[in-house]
Amino acid sequence: MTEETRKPRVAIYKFSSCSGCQQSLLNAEPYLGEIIGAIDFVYFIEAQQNNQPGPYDLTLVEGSISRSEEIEAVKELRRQSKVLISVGACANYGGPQALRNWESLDYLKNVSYDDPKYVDALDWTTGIDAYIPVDYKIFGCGPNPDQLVEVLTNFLQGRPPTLARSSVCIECKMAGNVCLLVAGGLNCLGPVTNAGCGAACPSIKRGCYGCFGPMEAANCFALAKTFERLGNSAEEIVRLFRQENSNAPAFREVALAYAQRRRMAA
Amino acid sequence: MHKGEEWRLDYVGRVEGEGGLDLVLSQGLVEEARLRIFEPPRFFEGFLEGRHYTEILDITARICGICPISYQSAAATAIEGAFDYTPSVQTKRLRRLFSWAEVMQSHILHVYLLAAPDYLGVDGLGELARRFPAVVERGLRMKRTVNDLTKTIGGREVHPVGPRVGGFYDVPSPADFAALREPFLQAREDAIETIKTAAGFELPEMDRDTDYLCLSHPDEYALNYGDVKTFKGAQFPIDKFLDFVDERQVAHSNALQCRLKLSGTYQTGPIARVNINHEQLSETAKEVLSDAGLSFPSQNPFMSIVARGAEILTGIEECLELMDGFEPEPEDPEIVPRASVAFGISEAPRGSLFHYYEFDDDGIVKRARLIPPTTQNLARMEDDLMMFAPRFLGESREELSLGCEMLIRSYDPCISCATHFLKVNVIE
Repeated sequence: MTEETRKPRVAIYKFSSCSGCQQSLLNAEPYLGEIIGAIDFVYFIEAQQNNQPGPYDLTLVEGSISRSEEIEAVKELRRQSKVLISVGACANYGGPQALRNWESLDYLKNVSYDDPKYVDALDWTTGIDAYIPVDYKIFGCGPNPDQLVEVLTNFLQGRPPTLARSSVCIECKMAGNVCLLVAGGLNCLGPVTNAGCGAACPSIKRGCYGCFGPMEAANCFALAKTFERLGNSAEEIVRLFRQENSNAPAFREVALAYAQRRRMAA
Repeated sequence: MHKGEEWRLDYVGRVEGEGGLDLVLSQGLVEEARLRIFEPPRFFEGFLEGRHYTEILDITARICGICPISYQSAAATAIEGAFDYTPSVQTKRLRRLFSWAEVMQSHILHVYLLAAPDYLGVDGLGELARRFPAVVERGLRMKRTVNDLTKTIGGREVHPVGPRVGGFYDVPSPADFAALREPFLQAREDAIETIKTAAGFELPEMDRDTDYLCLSHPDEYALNYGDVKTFKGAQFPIDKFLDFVDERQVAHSNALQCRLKLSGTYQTGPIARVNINHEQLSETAKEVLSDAGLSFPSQNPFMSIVARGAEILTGIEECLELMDGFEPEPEDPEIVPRASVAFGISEAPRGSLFHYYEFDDDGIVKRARLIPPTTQNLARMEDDLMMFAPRFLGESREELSLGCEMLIRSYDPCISCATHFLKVNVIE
């Protein structure tokens, strides 16, 4: 096979996470056959026994960096990858593992482990871009399989990914949903959250809980003010912004400010 | 191989999460089998402290991308019990459909993509798709169909957004269920073929005398409700789980492992459920098994793949019945939190998943403890490896490696689930 016609070497990597992002890729069943036909998964531990070292043409990464040995591993992975895409709340912002950032790590170790001295864990958990440059980001916990397929298709055609860069509000409007926040008085993170889920929560009359992470230039402080007017305590506002994406800067800052206010009130 | 030699399997492919195995070998004997877990600790039990009961389903779902519904169901039933809320008949019916969808999805993934390569002599997904396109096509078709049911009820496949304490935020329409009927009828045929395919696999022989554990219910193949039953005859309510199951640190591996106080190491999961509740499999499933010359109870862990097939067929048939004429109405469950302790068990694809919570008057979590099925199976897996590995000691390392991996894969371990309950294995 010539260089021109060889299939791209693609790696699926996982750091600290639940495997849900890989699961989302495997949930793209109607397209999986074509995907497998067009690319060569040379590293995909969940799907095959034999896995090859780099270099890779494309690497999709799920999972956060939560222990020291992952730091070197992700740097090496970057060196081996022509194009590297972070997928999901963990790889982009640290995911739920980053909830440790706001607690005492020693305390958390003691809750889950009898003998915490063996537990290797960084006290600050982040997405992978804290250590390496990332070419593109796919958001969501879990990510939308259609977005994964779209990104892979674009990659095969040599185009950059073209993912929506709007908020969940736009998807709500497109779905014809009545606004839960304005008309329903429900807590909804839709105005500050990346689109991509198809307004999954508002479409079932549930406020968005921000699992796709903050959109660019999100005004979280204005939204938090609205939550205050709806009767939420500082404590409740902190919890709203500390879910899957608590270490995303926009969510982190507003949660820290309200946590500070809570402490001053106490 | 010499006495005291250590043999290391770097990683186990085609399982969820990342782990490996160390065997300590001596002449003709395996002295020790140690499963190593690479998955980093994730501290979910600590994160749950201080969270409101309405947030628990979303948080615990994130422990596992393959069985989030099992976490949501175990949490919901635990909280409802603690707050003295009885879910409606409609909610129980929806919850059952939802749980079946996840169990079937995980089993189809396992049978077709993770386990089948062992028996068809291929490396994994890519080679499987090239050499056995019809098998892969059938597997993916079934997987899509049951995923469509998950999406219909839960809004999306991974970390569904639909369930809440007391029920669901919104309910599907009769038209949604009607649209699933044709694909499910196809899936019924595919599920029969799945059992036949699994029956054709050359499963290694193994005969143990281990105990099994799962939920059991007099009226249905238990998924979210019932008592805990063991194969060797113990039966107890969910809130007595910790009285019967001992979770302790073992010296060699620094890992938490479970044992039944009465009978020692045990297995939970599809083979446990089918061994204990086989009378409640669908009639078709029983017939197909019998026609293929397969019977339960079985003490061969490799029969798990057949048990998965039987559960897929039973699930497809029951979902067809449950969806037929189902016209759920939106509900607004009124939940009143109170200081309480909560116990819940759901049957996750890989076995019984135990949740325990302590709440204050406002419904804030004071303490949480979660015991996933893979943690319960770890000690049994090591016992099985000790029993199984010696037959490969005269063979090549490749044979030894493949044999051990096939055994580990037969459990379909979920290492992400197990990790935050595991001690890091210190070997060096």
